[in-house]
Order: sequence, then structure tokens, then C-alpha cells
Amino acid sequence: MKQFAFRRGWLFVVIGVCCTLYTTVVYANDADSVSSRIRNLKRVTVSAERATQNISAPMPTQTITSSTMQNLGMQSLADAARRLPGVTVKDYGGLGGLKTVSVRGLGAEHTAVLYDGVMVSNCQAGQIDIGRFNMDDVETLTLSVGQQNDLLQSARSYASAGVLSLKTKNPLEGTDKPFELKARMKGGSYGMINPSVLWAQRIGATTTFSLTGNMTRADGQYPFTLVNGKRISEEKRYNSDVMSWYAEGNLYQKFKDGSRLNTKIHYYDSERGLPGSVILYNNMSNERLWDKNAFVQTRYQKAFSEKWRIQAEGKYNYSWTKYEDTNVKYQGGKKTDVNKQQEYYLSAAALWMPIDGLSVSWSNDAALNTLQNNFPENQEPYRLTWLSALNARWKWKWFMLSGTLVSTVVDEHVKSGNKPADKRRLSPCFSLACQPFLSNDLFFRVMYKETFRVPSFNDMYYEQTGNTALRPENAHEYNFGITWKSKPWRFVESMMLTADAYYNKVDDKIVALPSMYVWRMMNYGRVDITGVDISLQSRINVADIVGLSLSGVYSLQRALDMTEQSSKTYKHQIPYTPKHSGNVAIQVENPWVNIGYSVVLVGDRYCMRQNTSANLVHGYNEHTLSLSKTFDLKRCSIRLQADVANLTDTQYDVIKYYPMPGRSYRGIVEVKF
Amino acid sequence: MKRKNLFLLMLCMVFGLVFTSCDENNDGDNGGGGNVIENIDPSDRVFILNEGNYNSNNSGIDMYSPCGGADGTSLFVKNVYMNQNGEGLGDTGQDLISHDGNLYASITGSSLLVKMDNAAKKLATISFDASEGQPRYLAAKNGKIYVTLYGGYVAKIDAGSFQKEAMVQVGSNPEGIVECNGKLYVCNSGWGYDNTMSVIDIATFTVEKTVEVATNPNEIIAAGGKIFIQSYGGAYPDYDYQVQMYDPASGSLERLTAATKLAAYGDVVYIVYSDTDWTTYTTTNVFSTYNIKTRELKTENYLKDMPAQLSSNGIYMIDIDPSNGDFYVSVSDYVSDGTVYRFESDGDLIDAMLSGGMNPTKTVFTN
Repeated sequence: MKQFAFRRGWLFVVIGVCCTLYTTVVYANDADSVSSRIRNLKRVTVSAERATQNISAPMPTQTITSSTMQNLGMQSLADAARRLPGVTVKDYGGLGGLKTVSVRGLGAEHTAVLYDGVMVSNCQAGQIDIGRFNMDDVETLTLSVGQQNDLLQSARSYASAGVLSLKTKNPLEGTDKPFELKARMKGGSYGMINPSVLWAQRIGATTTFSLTGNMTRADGQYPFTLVNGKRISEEKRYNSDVMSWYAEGNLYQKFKDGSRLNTKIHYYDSERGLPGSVILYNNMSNERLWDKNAFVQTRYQKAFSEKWRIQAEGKYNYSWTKYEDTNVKYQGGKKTDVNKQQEYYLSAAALWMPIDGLSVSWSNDAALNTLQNNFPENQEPYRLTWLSALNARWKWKWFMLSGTLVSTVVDEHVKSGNKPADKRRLSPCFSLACQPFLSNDLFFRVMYKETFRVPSFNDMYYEQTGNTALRPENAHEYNFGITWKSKPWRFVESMMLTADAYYNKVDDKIVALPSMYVWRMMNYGRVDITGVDISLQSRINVADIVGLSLSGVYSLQRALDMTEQSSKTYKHQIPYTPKHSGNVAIQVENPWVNIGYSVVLVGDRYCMRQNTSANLVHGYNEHTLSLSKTFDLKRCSIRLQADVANLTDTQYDVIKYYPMPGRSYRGIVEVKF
Repeated sequence: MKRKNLFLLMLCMVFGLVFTSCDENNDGDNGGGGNVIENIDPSDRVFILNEGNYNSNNSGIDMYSPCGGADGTSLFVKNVYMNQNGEGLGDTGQDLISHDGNLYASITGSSLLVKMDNAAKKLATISFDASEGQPRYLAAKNGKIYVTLYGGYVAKIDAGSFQKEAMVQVGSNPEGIVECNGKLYVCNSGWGYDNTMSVIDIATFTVEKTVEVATNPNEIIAAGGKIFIQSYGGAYPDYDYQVQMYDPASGSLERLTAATKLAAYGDVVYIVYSDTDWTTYTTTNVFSTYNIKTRELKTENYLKDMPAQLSSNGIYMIDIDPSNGDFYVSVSDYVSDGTVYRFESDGDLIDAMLSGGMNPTKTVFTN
């Protein structure tokens, strides 16, 4: 029944996509009724462009801009990321719940997260919680499968299977304003309050700074429906509160020689309850987490000539977490884990374009990561990573050929106990993009990339389960895609279609395996992933003052456990990977009130490696509606927004027994000077 | 312009329809119903507890009948608890016992003790609060149920009224418990740090003495008037899984051999030692028997014709039917539903059943 309902949901996505195509066809025939004089009338500019997509890139790249996030009423960066083709966001529910991004079935550890160009690292967990970043300051969120198209980058950003890049913006860039002041207040269901301020100031012709402060609190006590066999009960999520704040300062400096220096200092602090999975017949939940994170990062970019450009980056990161659980089963009735991580990071890159069409770049990174904790058998590990990436790209007439070779050297050190082996790898990547008809924006792209993820500190050193003998987990990615951008008829401002088919292979997977009484992290298992990602975006002028932007995404993914033929899980879909997923979004801009509506569709998944009916987690459709209006006053502008998330009040889980909130409301007031 | 309107209309329809495509959830049952059980003679019902996975609410009970099927063949019914009660058993089923014709299950994650009739129909439950701690293992004697609680207690519960009557403090994180000649013997694991066994006098319900045993004692059984304690045998990482024999009469304690699981039938203790080599992730099982009368320890495989899965995976359960000596054995990989094997007392494999859940951990005989 469920399966059917979901398929039906799918049908509508297909219809939606067809509809977009249909429109364009209709307008083609409708050209007569379009008189050129309309062009002179006041027209609405559709700022709700979903993305400035790079269709000529040899790797699948998708961007969501802040205006799209706003107009569609997206609730967080995780909410935005899950709408990108091929992305699976693991969301443990609530504002404070862990949210990680994985791309094309590869596991979150294979996705690098960049914040203003510099990688965010967490050597202990190996994966990044993007719930920790606030969408307010983020101007664009870009996912690149493989690697980013830009050749002048840190070596690190070439070393992952996917890159999720968060970019903030200098608010005064491209304006002649001397300053900008912005105050924003968000409030919503379950006690959510999120005030924020931004002050950007020009000091002199070449220097700008900005200061941001942002605070979020929520009690997180949302109701949910618990289905236990035939028993259905209304429950409430407890110990799901969160209180966090951060402050960020940016200094943007332009020098006379055209070079730029951007420096960022950031501090984040939070306390939250970890509600854990819902346990039948037992409401006890006492786990809490405290987080403190400070970092300073700087980036210098300079062009020496037409042929030479360089970039240097540096970062220092300090993060501290305290986890506490209260239960009589622990000695002293409490378990307290305190972890301290530090990172020192330097990167330098140079780009050389000796002749027209040929670009060569070389990036070198060095990083030192340390971990200290309060465990009795704390090994105090530290890791030195040396990365070097050599890139070459040749663009000639209708094709572009790129190759990358990344060398990784990881030196592992411990103050006591077993020392893991050092790791040395060479990882190649090749890609080809071609445009067979230069008059037409139709591109074909092919990519092969080899990557790996090194075991995290937890994988190697965590109490009892850690295994210092772990090897990296390997991934191989193949992609073939077509992109097409067109502005075929007047009513269609733009239309873009991308379709990619891929095959990924993961082996030597790092997993926890049981013995009779203890578990240990091991390299075990292989997963084969085949999939298709399709996206369609178009912008249409429905009427002279009404702009419409429509987008649709569909992803098909078969991620099969190929580990052992005799196993009961052989060729079963790996956990939490829907076969079908996608979304449809529509934005209507008009002089009265802007409307954003979207639906995210996720198919059936399994919560365990064995695909049995007991392990089935049903698919869901989640609808979001957002209304917004900006009033331009003399000295300032005021923006009002109201959102309803999960409009149909659907009860669903992303992770089984971590129920997601039902229908929730949010209001935003923003004043900008 | 007409076409434009048509398009808008279509658009409205599409988005309108998406709204209606919400999920309908009508999960059917996933196994046999109550009638199947009730048609089987109570003395022919064998219940198997599936522990499930930590924090996954997927523990359950399967039923097996050695000759309750058509023409006297065996019958296996999955998930009888869910089918009989229309609700799940809860999170992490730790132990299951039968006493005076009823079944009792301790569900650790759910912090719950469940009383069922001999067809797995729920009769009553008891919850334990944060200070008492979560329930672990069960023992029963003369109409009283005894349960170890992670707060460091053994609770006495009246089987009839299913009310808590008393609690006695033992060591920290008590695990296995067994009754023998008017005493209760309790393993105090301390979650790896304790190394004692508490001896409780049932009549006075007080701790009579505390015996030092190997580190991190876990499972405990009684046979031939002796107590057999399986323990981790050391602190991490120096585990030395072993079985010790305690003689209540003399107070002597003796290490017998390496062991990860124990069972007893008559005067013989059946021992299995599952050893995992982490460099290759292969597990080997060493089987041995200890004859209490002759004090003879023999390394011998008492299970013949072992399927490949059994010989190369850790043995998660070994229980013996007290009426005929049949072995019920399971293996577990924590990712898929378990398999339960039944061997005749002479070691011949008779049956292999695919469980209704993960980690089959305890077999209970109602005869």
C-alpha cells in the first residue's frame, strides 16, 4: 500500500517535470501572442534563481543560493543539502540532532565540507555535522561530485569523493554602501527563537569588515506519533533542547596589486540534549552534549600576471566537546567523555596558464591534528597529513580534458599504545567535458576518480572497539552525464537539464564487527552503487509581473552489499539509502507576496543491512510552504516571511526511531539598513 | 493566452495532487497468529527470545514446536509476541524464563519485566526506575521471580501478583543469576571492573557472602549442586574468557577451561569457546564437556554435522531441553535475522530455523 502511495508520489514528480517541458513547448507555439512591447513594461526580476550552475563543468555540480533557501522556506543547510541530486542527509531529528551529508551512497566520511574555501575537519568523528552551521550567513551551498571545477584550490579539496562548499558573502561587495546593518528575528514551533545581527562596515577604500552574532534556542519538545505494532500513541520528544550561539568576524582586504586577503575568526558554543532513539516503554533520556569551537582562518589570493596566480590558506582550529550520560549502570552513576581536538593547517597553491587553453596547478597542504580525551587508555594521537595535488587541464575547441593526481601521506603518532601504520597513496582523477555543437549549450561529461577515507581517530582509538590496524576505505567513482542549457523561447528565461549516470565501488569498508563479547572496527565489505541523477530547472515569465521558477530532481540509487555471497544481506540495499528520491520546488515572484512551495520525496529504505519487512522504513513526502514580502522604505528595507514546514503533518523518520517533527511554523522579520 | 492558462491549471493540478499522495500505513502481521500457538499442546511449545539490536526496539519471541506441525513434523512460528499482543516486546530482550506455566522476559533497553502466559500473551509488566537500573537476568523459585538490576540490586517479585516485594543490594552491574539449593548466586560484572559473586539466602533475602571470582563474570548456571561461572576473565584488553566451578559446600573455586557459553544437562556441563582472530576476522569454536561426577574435562564436539555457518561464527546461544537433552544453538552477526539449530542429544542436526529477529539469545521450554 505504502509502496504504491510512494510510487504515486513519484508519478507527480514526473508529471511536474514533464509539465515544465510542456510549458516550454507551449510557449514555442505561443510566440505570436507575445508582443515585444511587453518587454518595455515593468517586469519582475526573478531573483529566485535556484542556482548559478556550471553546466560546462566536467563533474556534476549543483548550487543552491541563499535567496532560494529563503524563498522556499528551507529550515536549515541540511534541509537545503538533501534537495541536491544524489545527496542523502542523515538527520537524527530536531534542531540539535546530528545531520551529515553523504553523496551517492558513499558514506558521510567521503564528503569534504568547505567553509569559505577552507576544509572543516573532524579527525575524531571523521564526518561533519552540518547542523552546526547556520544558513543565515551562507550565500551559496554547492555540491561537487568528484571535485570542484576551480583549479586554484587547496590540495585537500581534491582528495574527497564529494565536496560540499558553504560560501558566505562580503555584504558590501558589489555595492557602494558605506555600511550595512541587518537584524533578523526568527521564531517558530517548539520554542525556537533565533535572533541574529550583522554589521558590515567599510573602512577606507580597500578594507571592509563584518561582524555577525547569532543565537538559537529551542526546547525541541515536539509531539510525534509512535506506531508500535497495532498500538498507535501520541508521544512527545524529550531531552531535545538546544541552546547555541556563535560570533564571526571577517576582514576583507584588497591590496593595490589586486591581491586579496580574507580573514575570518569564529567562535561557536552550544549545549544540547541528545534524545537518542525512541525506546518502547522507557522514556528515560539523560544524554547531553556540550560543544565549543573556535577557529581562525585566512586566505590570500594574488594574480601575478595573466599566466600566474597563487593562493595561500592557513587555519587554526580548536574544538572541545563534553558528552555526559547519567545512568546507574556507570561507575559513579555517570559517564563523562571530554574530547579536545586541535588543527594547524597550511596550504599553498599556484596556477600556471602557459598557453591558451592549457592550465596547470599544483597545491600543497600540511595539517597537524591532535586529540586529547579523558579516557583511561587515552593514546593522545596526533596525525600529520601531507597532501599534494597536481592538476592539468587542456581546453581545445569543443572539449576539455582534465587530470588530477593527489598524493597523500598520513603519519600517525601516539604517545602510548599501538601506533597505526602510516598511509601513503596516489589517487588519480580524469575527466572529459565536450561540447559537440559550439552553438548549442549541450555538454557531455565523463569522470573517473579514485579516493579513500582514512580511519577516524574514533575508528582507531575509541575505547575497546578502536583498531589501530585499520586501512583506508577505498572508493572508485565513475560518472557519465549530459547537461543542456537553453533559452529556447521568449517566455522561458532559462532552462537547464542535467542527467548523470554513475557507478561507485567501495571496498575495505570501515565497519564495526562483533565477536562473542566485544566489537571492533574492521575493514570489511564491499558496496556497489549504481545510480542516475536528473535535475531540471527552469524560469518562466508567466505574466509580465509574475515570475515563476520551477525545479525538479530525481535520483535513483542501487547501493548493494556485495560483501559475502553466503550472507543473508548479500545484494541487499545498504541501510538508509532510498532507491528513489527527489524533490520539486516552485517559486512564484510577484508584486504582492512571493510564494515558495516545495516537496521532498524519499522512498522506502531499510534501517539494517538485511532488507526484511521488519527493517523497512517507509518513504515519505514532506511539503514546505513559504510566503515572503519585502517592503522597501526610505532608509531601510523590511522583509517578512512565514513558513510552514511539513505542511501535511506527515510523521516520518529519517533514521528509524528518531522521529521528525510534524507540521511546524516559523516567522521571520528582517530589517536591513 | 489560453494555453498559458491551461498550463497554470495543470500546474495547480500537479501540485494539488502531490498533496493527496500522502502515505497510508497499514502494516500487516508478519508471522503466524495466535491460533497456531493455541492449537499446540502447551508442553510442546518452545520459546526463543530474540535479543534484537541495541536501541532498535526489535526484540521478540519466536515459537518452535518439535512435533506440533502437520504429521508430527516440527513447526516454527516467528514473532509470536507481536502477533499475540499487537505490540513489540521492546528494546533488547535480555532473558526469558518459564515458571509455573508462565513466561517472564526481562527487556533491558525498555527497562521492563514482562509476564506472559504459556502462549506468549502479555499478562502484566513491571518497570524499573532510574535508581533501580535496567533489568538483566532472571531466576525463579517457589512463586518468586528474581531479577538482577544494573543499579546493583536483585529484586524479588511475586510471580502471582507481579508486584515488587523486596530488593537486596549486591555488587555493581549484576548480570547472570541462578538458584541452587535455597541460594541465589549472582555475577557482579561491574561493567568490566568487578570480580565478585554474591550469594543470597532466599529465606532471609539477604546477601550471605561475597565470593571473589574471575574478573567480569557474566553467565552463571547450576548443575549437580555446583555453580559454573563464565567470565571475561580479565580487564580490557586482556580478556581470558573462562569458566570457573564453585562448590557451595566447600567454598572452593576452580578454573575449568576457556569458555564463552555454557549449558548443562544431567551431570554434564556443555562448554563452547568462540575465539575471534581479529587479523583475519575468523572465528573458531572449541567445544568441551565437563562431567561433574567423574570430574572429567573432555574436548569433544558434541554437535555433529555442523553447518558451515555454525562452525565459523561465534555461538550466541546454547540451551538444552531438560526433558530430552536436545541442543538449541544459534549464531549471530548483528546485521541479519539469526538462525536457530536444533541438535538431538546425541549431536545429530535435526532442524534449522530462520528466526523472526536478530540475535536469538535464549530458549525456554515450558514442559
